[in-house]
This record gives sequence, C-alpha cells and structure tokens, in this order.
Amino acid sequence: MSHANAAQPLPQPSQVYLAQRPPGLKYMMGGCGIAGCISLDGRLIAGDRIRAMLTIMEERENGLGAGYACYGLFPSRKDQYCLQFFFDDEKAKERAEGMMRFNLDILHDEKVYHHPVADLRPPYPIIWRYFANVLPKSLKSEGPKKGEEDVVIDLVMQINLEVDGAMCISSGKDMAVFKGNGFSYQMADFYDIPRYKGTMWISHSRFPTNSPAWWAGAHPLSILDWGVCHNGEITSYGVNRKLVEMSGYKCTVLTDTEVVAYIWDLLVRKHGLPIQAAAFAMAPWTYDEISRLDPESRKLATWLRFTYREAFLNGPFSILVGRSQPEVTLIALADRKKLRPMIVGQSPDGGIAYCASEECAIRLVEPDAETWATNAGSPMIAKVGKGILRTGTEHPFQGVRL
Amino acid sequence: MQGHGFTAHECDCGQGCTSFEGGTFSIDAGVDGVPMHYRELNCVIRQAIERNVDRIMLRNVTGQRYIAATASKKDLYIGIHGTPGNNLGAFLDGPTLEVFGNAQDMTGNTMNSGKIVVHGNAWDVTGLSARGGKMFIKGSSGYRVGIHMKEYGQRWPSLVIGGTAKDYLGEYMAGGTIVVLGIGSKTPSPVGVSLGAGIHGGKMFIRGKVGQEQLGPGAGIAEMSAEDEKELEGLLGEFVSYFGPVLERGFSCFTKVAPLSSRPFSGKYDKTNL
Repeated sequence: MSHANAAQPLPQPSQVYLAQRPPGLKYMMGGCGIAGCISLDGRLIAGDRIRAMLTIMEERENGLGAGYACYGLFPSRKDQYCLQFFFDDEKAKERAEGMMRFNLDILHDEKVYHHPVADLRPPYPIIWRYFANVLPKSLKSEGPKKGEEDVVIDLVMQINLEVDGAMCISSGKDMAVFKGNGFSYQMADFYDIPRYKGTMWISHSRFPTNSPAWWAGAHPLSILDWGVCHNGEITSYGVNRKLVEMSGYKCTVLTDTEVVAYIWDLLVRKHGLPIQAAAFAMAPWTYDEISRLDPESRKLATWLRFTYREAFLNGPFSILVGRSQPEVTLIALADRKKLRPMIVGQSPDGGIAYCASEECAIRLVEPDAETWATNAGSPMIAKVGKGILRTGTEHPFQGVRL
Repeated sequence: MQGHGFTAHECDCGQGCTSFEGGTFSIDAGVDGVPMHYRELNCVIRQAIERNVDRIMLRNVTGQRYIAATASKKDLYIGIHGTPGNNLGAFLDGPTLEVFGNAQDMTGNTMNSGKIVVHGNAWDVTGLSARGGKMFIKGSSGYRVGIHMKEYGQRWPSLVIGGTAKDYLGEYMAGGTIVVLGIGSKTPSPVGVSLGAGIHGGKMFIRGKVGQEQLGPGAGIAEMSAEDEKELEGLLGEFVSYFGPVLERGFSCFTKVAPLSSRPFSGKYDKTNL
C-alpha cells in the first residue's frame, strides 16, 4: 500500500483481528463507579476511607480514568483560591503563570505530591498547585460587574483554551482534585490519597463510553469549588452546552460531565436557586406528573421547566456534586427515571454520610450503616456541621419557597 | 474434608478461607477485611457444587457479583452474610439462596427456577426477566423491579416484596406474579408510576391504593378471583415462614393489577393483525 504523503504513513494496527475477539472487548461490562462521604459533625475523614470505597467497585471501571476531590483540605489557607494544573512542559507552565499573575496574587506554589507507581507507566504531566488571591484591579471592568469568582472562571477558561499543554483541574477554595488516566487504585497510589484528611470526599472511577480518555478528562470535573463525579451520559449535551456557553463558560475537556459542573455554578451561584430547585431543573418531572402536584409546587415546577429547559439533563446519570462555598456541601442526584444506581448511607453514630453506586462500598467502611436509595431526580443534600438536610426521598420542593 | 476431596487452600488465596464442618462448606469472602475477587469466589462455589456439597455458607461478602449464577443443583442451599453484588443468582436454576442483609441491583436476573430469600432490601431491577422460581424480599425494592418477567412452559415466577417498589414495576411483564405488601410505606400507595407499562401477561397484587394515574399503558385494575386469593395465600404463607408474622389485614386491601389485553401493542408494529 502506498500513500501520497510518505513521510506520515497511516498508523497500522499491530495485529488484525478477524473472527478473534480483540483484547479490549473483555472489559465491555461496566459503568462508572462513584463514591462520596461527608463528615456531618466536622470530624476529619482520611483518604484511605474513600480509596476503599471506590476501589471495591473495580468492576465498574476499565482503567481509563479515576479521580478524587477532597474538601475542607486546607484549613490554614481556606480563604485563598487553590488552583491546580496539569502541564505538559515548563513552557506551558510559564505561560500559564504569566496569565495568572495578571489577575492573581500568587502567595504560594508547590508541586502536588505524587510518585511513580509500578503499573502506571509515564509520561505523567507536571502537576502544580498555586494558592492565590484575586487582585483588586482585576475586579474593575467596563462591562458588567465582576466578582472574584468570575475573574477566576475567566482565567481558567482562558488558560485551558489558549495555552497548549496546560489544563486547570481545580480552582476552588479549600478543596483540590486529584485525578488522572488510570484505575482508581493507581490514582490513589499515585497521589498517595491516604496522606490527606478532609471533611468531604467525592470520587469517581471511569468507564468512558463516548469521550476520549485523557488525564484532564477524568472526573471529578471542577470549576471554582464545584466538583462533579458522573456515572452515565448526558445525551442533551449540545443543548446544555449552548446554555453554558451563552453565559460565558467554555467547554474544553471533551467530556459531557463538564457542562454539569457549569450548570450547577450558573443556577446556584450565579442565579441563586436553592439546591433542590436547581436539581429539579436538571432532572425535572414530566408535565403529566407536574399536573398532579399541589398548586404552589406546580407553579414552581412549571416555571423551572420553562426558564431552565436548556438545563434539563437528558439521558441516564447519577452524579455526586461537591462545593465548599459558603459551606462544604454534598449533593447526590440521579436522573428522573433513575437509570443509574445511587445508594445513600449514614453511620450508626450519625457522624458521616455516604453515597455510592453500590451498597458494598458503604458496607465496606461502615458495616452497620443505615442505607437507603434516593428517589429519581430527588437530591440528597448534606452539609458539614449541619447534617443531612434532605434524604432524597422527600417531595421535590419540600422546604423551598419562592 | 473427608468425602469431598477438598484441600486446605482450595481458593489459592493461601489463607485457609474455606472450611468444611458438619455438612456445611463455609467460605470467608473477606479474610482480614480484604474482599476476595468475585471470579475467585464463584470458582470456589462451583468447585464445592461439583463435589456435591449441598449446604454452603458465605461470610463477609462485599459486593461480589454473579454469586451462584447458573447454579442448577436442586437441593443446594447457599446462605450469604454481607452484601452480595449485582446479578445475585443470575440464571439460577434450582438452588435456594438466602441473604442475611441487603442485595444490590439485578438480583435474580433471568432466574429459571429455585428460590431467593433476602432478609433486607433488594434494590433496582430485582427479578428482571425471571421465567420461574420464587423471590421473597423482606424489605423494599427500587426502580424497574420485575420488568419482563415471563411464564414459560410450566414455569411461573413469583416475586414478593415486603416494603415498597418504585416506578416501572412489572414493565413489559409477560407472566408471573408480583406482590407488594407496603409494610412501613409512608404513602397510601406502596408503588410508583408507570406500573405495569406494556404488561401483557401475569398479575400484580398491591397491598394499598393504586390510582389510575399510576397505571402504565396496557395495565388495568382487575377483580380478585378465588384462584388469585388461593395463590396469594400460599405466597404470603411462605413469606411469613421466612420473616415472621407481618400482616393484620385480609385480602380486601389488595389491589390486583392485570393486563388489559394479551397484545397491548397489537396493530402498532404488527401489520398482520390490523
């Protein structure tokens, strides 16, 4: 076979499979795994707990991405933004730092601890962390009034888009994301997750179905302090992407999950919706079901469906969402038909709440936990120091007032 | 070990996780808190079945999938302590499984015959495509339970849930019996919406209210016959024999849901019947 461009021959597969099944297909059973835990009484939870929860569900992943996000991680720097990056080389790092200095006062920077593990082959990216405050001058804008958060979002989007070989993986206060392309146990070992203690953890092991596997594409996907772990797929991605792009977010990670993080930021931080109203906008009831609600709820439900029809996440999903501002919060939500699993549990002393794809993840670390399943489209909401505010089995708008 | 030919470390884990005493073969699926891989566990179970053991006890089960899948020894009993993983007893054909805890998703997937007893909850998609055998769940269940259960030849699957079930119960059901007792239910109806959507065979007995709006296309509320009461009495008797007395009220509080037609989509796809 000859090609016109002889300098760049087409890549040839090393072996041609005819009737013999190629090796990749033995991993076809799967579905991502998600696990999270939150301290309801404020005690710190060590990373080995979340590692155990996630790795027990190894059958749900295929080694193409895993990650952990820890909240309440930097008590001594909890008012500073913690920006973590993957860099391909020093040049990308310098360019990104230059752009950061324009808007941020970098107070401290350090390598994010990681070490080679036996069965996760290099190359690894440069993984770097910056603690910074937003410079007052960057809040001045000739257009609409900008908050500190908007400055950080714009900066992150700009670096992700414009700097080749640089991707911001987390940019929130008092939290950090540890992720990469590998199995959940490999990522836990690579970052030495047990060395960290925090008030909340969310985690994800990946089984990519329709998007590429790469380091920055692993979950949790994060913007500001929002972190999202997602099992499923967002078939309405195009519509959702239009909504967030109209609001200034740029989709750069090639994964449907990133729009979920941006929608949470848009609806809850920018538009000020209560969490369960935002959850309803993303996983709304059918109009037939809405017609049977009480008049006040019906009005609210219809209003949410009309106003935020582009925030409706169609397709099967169960997601864990974390945020640290104004308080560390865990949200567990399944789609409106509950096509992906979600189990919630609480320790017998009431001090820790758990959620996971499979009950075994909870039982492994808390054998006597009380467990329950959330309802379709009904979020479980828990806050550090406040307890479980919503179990995920209530009426959709219980406690919500317009 | 005599008479069954077991060696000390049958599962190759090197920790002596198996023992054989008084006719019961015990397997510790999580020695020192380290869960055994499901392939290994199922391999040990299969080896025990091959050696004609008829009573197996599993301890410290933590999410291992496919336990006893395709097992077909009629008089085999497997007791499970812990949390068995997805697809417990898939394609089960004869044995009895008893879970002392909660089961995960897809319990009894395409079960052919035998029995699964769960002293706890069994979550989403329990009993999907079952074509025979009996399942008794003491606690509650999740979404899409008993979808596409079917009768086949002389086989007739039965699924009894002590607590509640959610949406799409008995969707596309083509045979068999589902009973939901609603024990501990906080709402008047222990089942969700789209109940029996596309049902064209079998029946459901729901203890509590079922509104017209909960019924899926093809499902209707039917009168309970003497034959139904007899069948229900038998299933409830068996339920009570496993979990103790739980019911005070009689058959009058049950609502029977049955297919409106044996061919609910007739004419929609099949032009020959127009």
